[in-house]
Amino acid sequence: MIESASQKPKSKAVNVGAQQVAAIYAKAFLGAAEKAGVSDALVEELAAVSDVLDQSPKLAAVFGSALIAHEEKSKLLDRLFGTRLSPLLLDFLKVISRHGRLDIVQAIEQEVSLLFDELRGRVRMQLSTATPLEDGLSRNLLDALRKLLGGEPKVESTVDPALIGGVVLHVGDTVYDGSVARQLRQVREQMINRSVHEIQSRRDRFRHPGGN
Amino acid sequence: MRFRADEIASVIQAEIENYQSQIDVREVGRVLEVGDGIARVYGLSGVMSGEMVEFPNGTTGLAFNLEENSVGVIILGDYLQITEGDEVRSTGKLLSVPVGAAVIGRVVDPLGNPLDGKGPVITTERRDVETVAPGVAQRKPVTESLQTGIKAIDSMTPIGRGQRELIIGDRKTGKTAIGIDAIINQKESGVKCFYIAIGQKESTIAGVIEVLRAKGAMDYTTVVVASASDPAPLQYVAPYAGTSMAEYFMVRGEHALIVYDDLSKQATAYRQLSLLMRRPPGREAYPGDVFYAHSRLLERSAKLSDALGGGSLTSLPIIETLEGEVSAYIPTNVISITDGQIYLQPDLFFSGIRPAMNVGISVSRVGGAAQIKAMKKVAGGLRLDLASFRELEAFAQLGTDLDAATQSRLDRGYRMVEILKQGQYEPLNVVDQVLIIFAGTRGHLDKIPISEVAAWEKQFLTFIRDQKSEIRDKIAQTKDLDDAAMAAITAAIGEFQKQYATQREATARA
Repeated sequence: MIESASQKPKSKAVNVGAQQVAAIYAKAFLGAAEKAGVSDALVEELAAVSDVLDQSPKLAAVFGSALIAHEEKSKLLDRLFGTRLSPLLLDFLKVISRHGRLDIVQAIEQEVSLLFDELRGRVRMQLSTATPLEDGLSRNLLDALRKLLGGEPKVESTVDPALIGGVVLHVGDTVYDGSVARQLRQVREQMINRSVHEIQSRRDRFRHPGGN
Repeated sequence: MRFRADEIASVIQAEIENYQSQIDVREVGRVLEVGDGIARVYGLSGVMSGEMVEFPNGTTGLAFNLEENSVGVIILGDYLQITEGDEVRSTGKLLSVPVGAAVIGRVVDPLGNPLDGKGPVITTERRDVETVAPGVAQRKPVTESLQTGIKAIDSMTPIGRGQRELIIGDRKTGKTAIGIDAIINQKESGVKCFYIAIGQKESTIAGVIEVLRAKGAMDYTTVVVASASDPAPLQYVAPYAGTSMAEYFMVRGEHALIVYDDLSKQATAYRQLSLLMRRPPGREAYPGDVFYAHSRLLERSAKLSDALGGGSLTSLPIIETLEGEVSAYIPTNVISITDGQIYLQPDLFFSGIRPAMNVGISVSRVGGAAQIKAMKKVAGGLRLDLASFRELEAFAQLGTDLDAATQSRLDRGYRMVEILKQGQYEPLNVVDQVLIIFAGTRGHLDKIPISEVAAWEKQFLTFIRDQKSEIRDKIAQTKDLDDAAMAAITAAIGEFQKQYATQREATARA
């Protein structure tokens, strides 16, 4: 599947410390969810909670505040999500609250979705092209990627006219750059290098080998 | 010269036809924070320690700290152009510098980029900045001498090729001057010289380069500059980069000399980086591996075995002390790493004894084997004699009456001190050194007033060069001093004494 992000989501500042902690909670959460056999639903619900926090920064501030006691937050959680969320997720949120980590719910959500994709054998990637992909092309591309990566690709695509043509694929930390822009840059560098080499070798012909 | 446009067009066409499109696969990360010459990067999960990374503006960095979720990178260049969120690309390469004959005579930065405005450094050869020092089997004891041209050093703390001799002292005691003199004196020896300026004022460095140029030493010298205004990562890398350039000649069976001026500033730069990277501070806030930073650098100076060409790399690290405090952390470290030290003292310097070497605590642990025989014969006991003279001198200041023997020892001592004084940038040939030290230690100057010793020396050396050149030639050839040669020198001195006395009378009368 290729979900099209109309504009690239503005990358949030990465808080390395929070992520480290979040990864641990994410692992525990997924473990419990898998055991109950309702991971798909729970992951989606958690994403919804994270969306709510994105939309109302005041709630996020309340969650993040250490001045508000766990009991208060627990009641608040019940009032807000009591009927809307599965009990398992609600319990999980309360556990986080008891540990005073409600401020990193969003980071936990990110880690959960990463881990969950990994668990299901999905490979996340960002695809950039100069023009929007046509259906036939994107299907071919997906097939190729599936073969290449040995997993179900989960593609987030963006359009970047600066690439001129070709594709740029981000998988994890690795970038596969097949864009025309890079190729042009490369041709330019090669020409410069070749010319410099040419100038050098012609100059060297007039030089005495022993130095000046 | 004009060329036709279609000539170029055909070249471009050939270029495009030869071009093969490949997909460029790189690992990337994102800058989390940047400042003070370092950057913290998220991603780059496969990067290795010491690997070179590239920032979008072309600046290179070095993966320095590998942490669980981020990578600490030191930025070798302008870090003000880098912003949060920039993409950082790994290169899969280690940091390297251009080496070879092309760097000789140049002034370059620690990455090998020219700073002297003489065009690019044209060489195809590069060498890794961090290389492993030669092992036990690849080495050979130090046997050849490296003449510094300084009487006090060549006679009492001789330096051999492949040795590491520390120059240590307070500020303004002539540390750099010794390094520069040693470089200037390599004019005829064919030793390639490298002067690594770390954390110094640009004006001082410009002065040094000017002197080297004026003395003709730039023909065989490379100056690597990481000045006080360069970011700490460059100051940290500079000595390693310079050593790589010098090693190139060593592994080729040639000889090289490298002066690190100075390593205390490199340690300070390294401390800054380590603290910014949040490595735990140790003594004097230096990181725990500051010893290793210097030991792995100085281990790379070596005398290679004959099987490997017998090349050598001699190093003269410089350390600045504060108020003569040699027991501070960095000085003790470097003293223990090197094969001896030349200790310079401000009180000697200001009493006019230049080079201001403290003879008692300056040593050379391996250079003795490298001294030429003639020098060994004339200067054998000089170091101990001078040290005991210093004691006697202090004692003599108390009393008034001295017996004749003590007085004569004092007189000899004063004259030897006078002989060992030497002007800056005036290195002396080793044969001349042998002649004048012979004259001094055998008591031929005891009757000359102290204030006239310098003049006597100068005229004596001119006399030998002009009228007794066969003595000079013989010592230069055999590098030894047999009985016949000694007798010849004694006779020559006798002859010169007469000339000198008549000349003196003539000037006194006039």
